[in-house]
Amino acid sequence: MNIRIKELNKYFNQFHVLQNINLDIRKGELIALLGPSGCGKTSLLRIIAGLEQPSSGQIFFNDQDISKKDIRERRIGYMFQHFALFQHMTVLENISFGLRVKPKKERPSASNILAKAEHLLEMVQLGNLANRYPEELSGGQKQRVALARALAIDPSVLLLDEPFSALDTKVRRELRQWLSNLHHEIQLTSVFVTHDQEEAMEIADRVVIMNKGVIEQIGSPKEILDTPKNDFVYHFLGETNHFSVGEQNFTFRPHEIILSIHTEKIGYFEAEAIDIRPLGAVTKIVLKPKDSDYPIEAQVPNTTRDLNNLNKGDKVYFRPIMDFEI
Amino acid sequence: MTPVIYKQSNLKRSVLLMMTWIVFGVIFLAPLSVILIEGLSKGLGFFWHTFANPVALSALKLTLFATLLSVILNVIFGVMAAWCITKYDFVGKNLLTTLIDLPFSISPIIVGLIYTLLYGSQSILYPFLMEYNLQVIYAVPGIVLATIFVTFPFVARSLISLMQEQGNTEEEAARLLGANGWQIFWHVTFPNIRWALLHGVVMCTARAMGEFGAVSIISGHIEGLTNTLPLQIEILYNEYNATAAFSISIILLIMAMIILFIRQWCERRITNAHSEAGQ
Repeated sequence: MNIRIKELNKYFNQFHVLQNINLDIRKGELIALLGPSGCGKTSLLRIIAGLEQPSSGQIFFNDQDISKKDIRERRIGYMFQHFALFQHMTVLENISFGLRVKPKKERPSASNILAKAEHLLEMVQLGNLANRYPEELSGGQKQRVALARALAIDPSVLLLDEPFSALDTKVRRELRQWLSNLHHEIQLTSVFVTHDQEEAMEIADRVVIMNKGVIEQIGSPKEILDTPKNDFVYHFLGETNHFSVGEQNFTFRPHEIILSIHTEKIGYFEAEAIDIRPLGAVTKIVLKPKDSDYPIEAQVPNTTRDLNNLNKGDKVYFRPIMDFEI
Repeated sequence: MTPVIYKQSNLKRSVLLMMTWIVFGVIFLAPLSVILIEGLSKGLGFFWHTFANPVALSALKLTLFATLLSVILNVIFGVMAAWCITKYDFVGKNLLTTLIDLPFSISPIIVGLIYTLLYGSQSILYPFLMEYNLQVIYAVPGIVLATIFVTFPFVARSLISLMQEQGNTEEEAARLLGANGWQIFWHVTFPNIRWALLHGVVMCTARAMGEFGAVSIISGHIEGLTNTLPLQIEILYNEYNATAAFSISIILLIMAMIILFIRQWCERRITNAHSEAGQ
């Protein structure tokens, strides 16, 4: 199922939370809506789901206008940020809910419902927890139950609201990879909302960067990182350093730098190392350039030559290796 | 766990505790035991005799009937009001939320007067009601109306705070999974609010059984027809038949105690529901 969003606007009272949104989502794609909080990404997801009504504009599923269609006809698999599992139902009852509430003539037989729910439980690797209640599950388990429940109705699209934000860092990484693999397996058109650029870059086919109700850029993770369309996108995607000397302005990422402890070469600037932090694969060095009040953050591989000889307070020379003109 | 600071002075603690028990004894225990002693002072035979009396029996029946009917109607209205207030946004929502509490702050006697003026023989509605032979004042419908009015907030109040805390996401999830309105209420909302609902029902029942002020004005005190138990007690007392008055009080007291215990039980369940919602 492809999704086309056309000239969509949404007002909450006077606030113009979504401004003229146009977006094409291809069949089977995994799309990330990425932006800071309050940028309208969750509102957009809720409008696609039908939980909110747009103030104007249209949404097409496979060229069929569903803007006016009831939520139940859209067949949306939706995962809430805090999962919204039914507290008084077991895991199995949660997963089979969407099948059990179908109108009588569409409803599968009880044994088919059970078989399908059990199949989904196996798929999310929770076969042994069928009779547990949500409060007895860990965050990661709840998330997988929520996903199985959403998939039970054979949704046309899968929408995920901050799917990993309620989990701790380690579980988040595992589930991210797992969700990405699952998506490759079932090829279901999916949209997820996140404020974490690493998350978006890691699993999305394409990323939609939003800010203050407008789409700033749409592209593959590589396109967005290599050719950010504007200042906001560039800054949002990671740490940035600014450095100016005379008429020259430099804007660059912490890893886009070459350091040297040897005396001046052409194109190198003098600075003082004010902090050195080994972080594993990279070492973070905070530099204070000689002619500037603003510190610069450099990240260099821990295998960099002469790094061991560098101490706090030492003179060091740096050169930005990539310019981004603003 | 009791904080250590309260254990420092055993003397202060004992004095405070003793004073609490004295106040409790003077205000609650003494009157309650007087009811029991007085009501049974002429023996169990007299006690039963008071109830074998058709007038008392009809008062008991009317009390139970008015209570049952107002509780049922309040459950329906209360759930509807709580649902609207917590699930929808609409103009006048704050006004409605405030007005729901009005019966708590308005004197029941005023409620009685309002209904008498609105449905009584001076009212412009009266000829219309008479056309359908619908006697409201000095009749059972008036008593039920007044009871509903004074007990209206209990169910709605019990539900609104819990439903606000629980939010709408479970309902939204159910909608997205294809459930219709009734299925959402029955399978998702109701199990989450059932103990709070029962709590509201219990409070509503207690208040409905004991309602005196509003009903007193509307009922007209027709023995055997429009007298409820509290009104019957007043009549007996005014007739210097204190023992019989206390005998009937015992029945109201027993019903109140049963309700108190059900309430305690509900509240424990609700605390659990709140802590689940907080997770």
